[in-house]
Amino acid sequence: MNALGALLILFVVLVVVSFLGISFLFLSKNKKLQNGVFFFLACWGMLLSWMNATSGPSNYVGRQLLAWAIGFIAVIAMLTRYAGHSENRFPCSNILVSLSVVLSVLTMFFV
Amino acid sequence: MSTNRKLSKEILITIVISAVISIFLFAFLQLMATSITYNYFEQQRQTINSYLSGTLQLWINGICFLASVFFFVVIFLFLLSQKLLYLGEIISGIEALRTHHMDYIIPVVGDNEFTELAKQINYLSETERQLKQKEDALKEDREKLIRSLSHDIRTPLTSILSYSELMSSKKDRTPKEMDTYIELMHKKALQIKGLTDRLLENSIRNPEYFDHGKFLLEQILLDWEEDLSEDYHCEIDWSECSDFKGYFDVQEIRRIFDNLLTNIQKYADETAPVLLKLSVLENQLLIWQSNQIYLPQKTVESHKLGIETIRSIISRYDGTVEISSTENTFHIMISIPVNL
Repeated sequence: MNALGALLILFVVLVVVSFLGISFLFLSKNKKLQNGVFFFLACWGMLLSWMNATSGPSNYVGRQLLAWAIGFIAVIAMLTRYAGHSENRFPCSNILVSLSVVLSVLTMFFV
Repeated sequence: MSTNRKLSKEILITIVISAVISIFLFAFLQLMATSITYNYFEQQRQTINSYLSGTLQLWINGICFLASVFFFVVIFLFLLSQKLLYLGEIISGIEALRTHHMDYIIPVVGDNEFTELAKQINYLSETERQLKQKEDALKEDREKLIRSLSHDIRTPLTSILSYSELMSSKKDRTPKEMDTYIELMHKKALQIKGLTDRLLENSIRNPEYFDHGKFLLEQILLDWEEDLSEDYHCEIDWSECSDFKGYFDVQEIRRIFDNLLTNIQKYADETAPVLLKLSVLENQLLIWQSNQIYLPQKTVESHKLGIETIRSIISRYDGTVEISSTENTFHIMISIPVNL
């Protein structure tokens, strides 16, 4: 297997896992499942941002910062969900974590 | 009681979240610090040997680790404080209830032991509120009963006093007159006894079935008319009153007429006749009483207890009381359902 093939497999895996996670997050009615999927997606978003930051050249500091910033969106989503008091914190945190995951995948392969 | 230990689970989740964020922050700090440091050396065109590189990496790792530990503590305490804020709300609620703000309700938030505690406290305060309301209602009922019975005791007591004054004022009474007065006083005394018994027995009603309700009324109104006859001219109209049946408490019926009598004695004009009409119409016994009001009014205090007592008694029979009065006339219409 060449590097491009491995990258393609990685891309497919990342996209499928991200898509399934975001779908379950918004379509599931079970609160426990939603919380579990949210936690997984937040960790997934952080992991993707780490992969993004470490996959580029080490002198591309700006790009690394962008990758980490996208990861911080997932951190904010977590804090919003678990520390907030408003009823809107659930949809808000769901949107933030989904944004973090989608941006991470896009910046990893297309930026 | 639930043994789910949801609070400990929530604290564990808080620890895990703080750890995950701290690890992310460590990775961010460590990688960025390493990247910036090596880029700096490159820009300065400086090369560092492996020993220096290792030392530098160690320092970076150490500082980043300390920073991430610090962040872990801060984030954990922040998330925990959000949970403990609710405990503060519960304590405020208990304080409010302790200072007799019994209508305070602690907001029920979340799904853990604190929530259960808030629900239990709300339930206890609601129970206490209801008990207090019932207690107040019972107290008020009791006071109403005492007030109304005390008010009703005055009428027969006044009669006893009048007869005893009559007996002591003129010495040359015939034995027959004395016997009549004694019999009347005895009747009134028995009435008072009935009322005080009711007061002590906490108003147990004693309705009896009467086949000839008209006869009962005639007996009661005989005394009623006699009590009024000295000062007032009474006209009682029985023309439309056919016989009727039903369950009646004699004491209560007597109290109705006693209260009418008291009102007449207090407010009626002695120069005008006191009118009383009894009729039976469509399974309703209608008692209509009317009198002229004495102007200027006698200076007697009115607590409106007499009318309230009549309303209260009539309500037990599912009847109605309507009062209409002008400046110088008073009318009262009492309606009681009966059987024909």
